[in-house]
Amino acid sequence: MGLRTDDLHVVLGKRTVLRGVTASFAPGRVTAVLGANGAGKSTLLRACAALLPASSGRVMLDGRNVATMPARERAQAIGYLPQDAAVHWNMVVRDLVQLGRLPHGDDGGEAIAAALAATDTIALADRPVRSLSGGERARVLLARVLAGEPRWLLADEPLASLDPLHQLETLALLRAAAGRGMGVLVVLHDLTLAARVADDVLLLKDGAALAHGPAAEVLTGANLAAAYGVRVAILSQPDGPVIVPLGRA
Amino acid sequence: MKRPALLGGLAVLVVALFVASLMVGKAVVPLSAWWSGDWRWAIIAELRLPRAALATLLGASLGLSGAVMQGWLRNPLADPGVLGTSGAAALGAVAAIVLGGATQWGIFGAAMACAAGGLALLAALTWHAETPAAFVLAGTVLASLAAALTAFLISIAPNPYVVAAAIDWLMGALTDRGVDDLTHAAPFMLAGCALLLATGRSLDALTLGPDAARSLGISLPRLQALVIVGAGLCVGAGVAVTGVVGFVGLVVPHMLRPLAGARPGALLVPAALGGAALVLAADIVCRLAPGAGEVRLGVAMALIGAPYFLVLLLGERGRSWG
Repeated sequence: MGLRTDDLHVVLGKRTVLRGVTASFAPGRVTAVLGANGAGKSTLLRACAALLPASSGRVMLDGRNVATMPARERAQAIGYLPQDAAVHWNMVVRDLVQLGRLPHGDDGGEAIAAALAATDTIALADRPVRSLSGGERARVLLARVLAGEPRWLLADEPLASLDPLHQLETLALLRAAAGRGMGVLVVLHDLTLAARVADDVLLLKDGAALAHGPAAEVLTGANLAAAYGVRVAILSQPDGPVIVPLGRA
Repeated sequence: MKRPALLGGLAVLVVALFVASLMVGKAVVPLSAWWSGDWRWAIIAELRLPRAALATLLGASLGLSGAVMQGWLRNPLADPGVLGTSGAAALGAVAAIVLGGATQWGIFGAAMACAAGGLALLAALTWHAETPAAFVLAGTVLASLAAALTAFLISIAPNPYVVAAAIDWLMGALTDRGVDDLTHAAPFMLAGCALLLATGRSLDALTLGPDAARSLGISLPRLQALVIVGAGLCVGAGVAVTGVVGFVGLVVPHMLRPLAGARPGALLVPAALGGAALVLAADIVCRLAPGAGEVRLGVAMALIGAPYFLVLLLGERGRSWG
């Protein structure tokens, strides 16, 4: 059960972006998807959400192939927060968050209120989205996904363009979602934040899974040197490890 | 503005303009002529009623098409003409006028056939395309091709009367349109409007971009088919009976977005009502022109549309300077 990729290959144009990724993800846990630029992190999330077709292999959700699930059922189960979360019209926040209920076909009053409360955006509900700061906007977009009450949350670089405080707050939201039983896959670039938020880490290199398992076991100097080509210092701190890149491996 | 108040206000405006359209013209006929035995009732029943109904339907379908097109392309400057369908339909109408003797059915059939051909070409050019730019480019190709062929046909017209008839058609008008025109176009326009009204939720989701929309269970190929066929039917049938009437699909969503809100789906019905009101009002103005003739509807719309966008432009410049 859970979300699983079986020997997943994805080809975009003439380029093979994912090369036989096999990994399973458990509900109620946060999995950080890490890797260098172009390693296939975003492609993996898009394939898990059936937004990209697998050229071979498959993605299974609770024993069912996501590619052949009815779109509405899949949308109810998997919430996807894209990397480039553009909002093309200056909608009011409440209307934007309500879009998360589209797969359910209801107004989702309680779910929307809960999502606004969880993301601390109730006070923003009547504001146009273009009047928000970057941090407020990121929280609202996350609220949109949470309003759909998915069993799985796939977030592609949700910390991009956020200041440190909002990064920590967003990660706390993801942790809280996992605490409610949601499975969370999140693409991150910051290794220290990944070490602090993630239960598990999937480390990708050139489209293949280099390592996958509990964060403490995957985030080692050797693995990170292999994935990123850098030497790192891993410093123990009371709040968790701090991972500092030092130079080329 | 609250949605019920907006829709109610627009509906009252459409009804008021529709009634005014029955009464106002070169000769003002009171509505009571219809039931009081006044011989002028025929002017209302046989001339103005089908014309007002056609104006309502044309405006609604153009306003709705514009709102859908702007939501679909995520571009506030998009309008139904961006697909090139109106140019293709105009090509068909001009071909019928220049080559075919300009029977009413001939013009309508040729315009609809060319609109369908334009849609097929558009579908072929945008096969598997997902970006709005691909559709705009394909529409530009189609519109340019149609404009060139239309100019070619006019240049080989057999006599000046045919040239005048073709140019007259291209300017767009509701003058002398009757029940036959209405019954020819209405089924296509109504079918197109029904398809376009089914796009609201998908357009809302597309606000978040294609990937997020698909993750919400929206089928983008289905949306694309609804938009292209729906707008094609509305615009093709409109051009087939009235000629080219621009600006409605561009101006009306712009005017109503501040009142209806930025959610694309919330703009559809107001844009249809607003389009109907605008074309009814413009057609009344066309009839009130001094002299024996009428101003062409396409000309009137352009005269309304250009200043409106000039005001928008000046407002933008004022904001950027401020």
